Amino acid sequence: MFKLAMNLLVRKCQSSKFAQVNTGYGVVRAIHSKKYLLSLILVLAQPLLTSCSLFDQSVSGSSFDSHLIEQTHSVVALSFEAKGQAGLDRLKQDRTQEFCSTQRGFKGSTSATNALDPQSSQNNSIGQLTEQLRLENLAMIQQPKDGNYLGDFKRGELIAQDGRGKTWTDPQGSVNGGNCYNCHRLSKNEISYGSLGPSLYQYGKLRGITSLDVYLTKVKEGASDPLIQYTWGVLMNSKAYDLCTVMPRFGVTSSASAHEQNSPILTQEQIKDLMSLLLDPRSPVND
Amino acid sequence: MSDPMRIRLQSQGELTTVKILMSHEMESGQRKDDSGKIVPIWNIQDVIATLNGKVVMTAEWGGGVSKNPFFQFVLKGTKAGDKLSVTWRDNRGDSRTDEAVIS
Amino acid sequence: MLCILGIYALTGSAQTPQPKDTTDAALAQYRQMLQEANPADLYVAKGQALWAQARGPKAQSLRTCDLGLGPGVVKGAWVRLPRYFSDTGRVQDLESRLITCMHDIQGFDEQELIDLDFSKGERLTIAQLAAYVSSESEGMPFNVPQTNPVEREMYAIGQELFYMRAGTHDFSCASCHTQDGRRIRLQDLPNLSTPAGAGFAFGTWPAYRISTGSIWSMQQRLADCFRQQRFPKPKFASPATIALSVYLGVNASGQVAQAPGLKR
Repeated sequence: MFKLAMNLLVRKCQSSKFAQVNTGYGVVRAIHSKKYLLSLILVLAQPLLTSCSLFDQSVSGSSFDSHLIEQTHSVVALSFEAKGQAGLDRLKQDRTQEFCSTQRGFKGSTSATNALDPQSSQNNSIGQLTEQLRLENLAMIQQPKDGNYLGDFKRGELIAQDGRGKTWTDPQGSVNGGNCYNCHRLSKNEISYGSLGPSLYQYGKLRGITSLDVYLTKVKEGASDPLIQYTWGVLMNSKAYDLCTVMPRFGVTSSASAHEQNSPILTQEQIKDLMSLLLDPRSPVND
Repeated sequence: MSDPMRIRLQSQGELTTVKILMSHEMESGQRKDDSGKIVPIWNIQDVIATLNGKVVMTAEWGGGVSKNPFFQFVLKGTKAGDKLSVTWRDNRGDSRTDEAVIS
Repeated sequence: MLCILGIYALTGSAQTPQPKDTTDAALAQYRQMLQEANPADLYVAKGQALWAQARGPKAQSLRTCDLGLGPGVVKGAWVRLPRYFSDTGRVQDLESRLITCMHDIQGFDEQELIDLDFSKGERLTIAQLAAYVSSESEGMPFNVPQTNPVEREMYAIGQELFYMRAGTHDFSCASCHTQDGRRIRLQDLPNLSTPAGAGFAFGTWPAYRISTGSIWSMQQRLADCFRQQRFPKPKFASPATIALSVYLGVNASGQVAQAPGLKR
């Protein structure tokens, strides 16, 4: 279904030219499997400029040149190698990644409140596709099995400070960090914070959690409280609220890799600690 | 055989600013290698500068000077044609001397 | 001592070209002073010596190496790379071209050079040579060619790769490098899709990294970016890395080269 939708939006270049290149690459790769240098000669030796604009900027700042995308993936396939826990399967994109890769310029929203605003869905095929993918991401979010959404804000601060995990220098299966300070301001005492994402300083306080009583009520209400739902949702899968945000999906994974299928960046327990970091009035974020 | 120092001289009247970039690992003795062992101290301990053979600057360096040190000082009473010679000595007994002429 | 102070200064903000306030202006001035003390100069000197030295199984120097402006012409070559080379039939960046010369002229094994770790053995040689070659273009404007169709193709592929989201964190280069005035922690992020940002980034690597006490070429910088993106490892001087360099280099057109640079 997604492929069909993509095809509706794609300006197809002369497919015969690409078939030539593809075959040439396939044959050479079999003979010279280690020599990607030679493979590249045949991939790129064909002039491919007849009907395709290589600087295709078709619909509203997007690029849907499927020919170029395929070519790029071929180049990528012979340019990377597995190392540590980072296997080549990490280069296999899911539909969200595929779609957001076509967006030019910076399309990730810097405001998490862009959430469920119906106006943000454009009334066109791109808008519809965006919404469809967003809802797919929403469906991936699991609620905590024990119904408890909160944890320990002190542990949450450590998780927010820790940027380790999932790189090829990190051991497989090690505990990962959320790396929140890379992009966000959080507690006032930490001045080494990034500016890629909005400030989360006083996150709970600014959203009505002004006393311990209010907080404890929300803790009890859990799933039925909209702020709890929203905050949990964004931490678990940010793409469910803003499809092409640059914020990683911390609690879900749609990785093609078998061993990574059930190992998202953060565990539910870690996300509960982050919830408390953001919402608990006693947390340093809310002073 | 250690790598040469890069010496830059900027003169104005009888003042010369001497800028030296030294090539040296400068191990502090606090760093651990990949196996967890302490990397032993290996650093420059003395620096001596002479002008036309006469000592004009001496320096004793303790720990804490970084790798590939940059060292700058000003000499008074210099003139064109004076020969500056800089020598460093490290704790392993190695030394290095490089020269530059004031223009 | 100045080197130690340098670490603290450079872990502050503002590595982008435009100072934003008095603190940034003061830091920029301090950084300017430190330029005279760039340990990368030591590697430039080493690279210059290695270029002229007879080395490798064939015991030849690199004095006949063609970096795009003719055999042995080093001055101004770096700001015209990556480019298409007819003898290899492909677009090559500086490191890739150095491998070609080290193999063809000096007899080194290409695959061995590719398989080595960064900063080790002959890979360190390549970084030092890169420091030397880049220094011979200092102050010149970038003029990465797009006259050959393959060069234009590589730009387009580089652009696609720049925007390609993948891996456990859904990161692409664009995730961090398509906005002005943003930073990760206190490290400013150049906007690589603009001339100023691309010029600053592409024009200051190779660079001496104070935190690691070593000279890093662009290939090493790209590899570490991919590591932090949670991608698998790019092969050294692979087509994808060259395509990205074409994208950056062309975006940097007209911007002044400042390499080798000095980084935290």
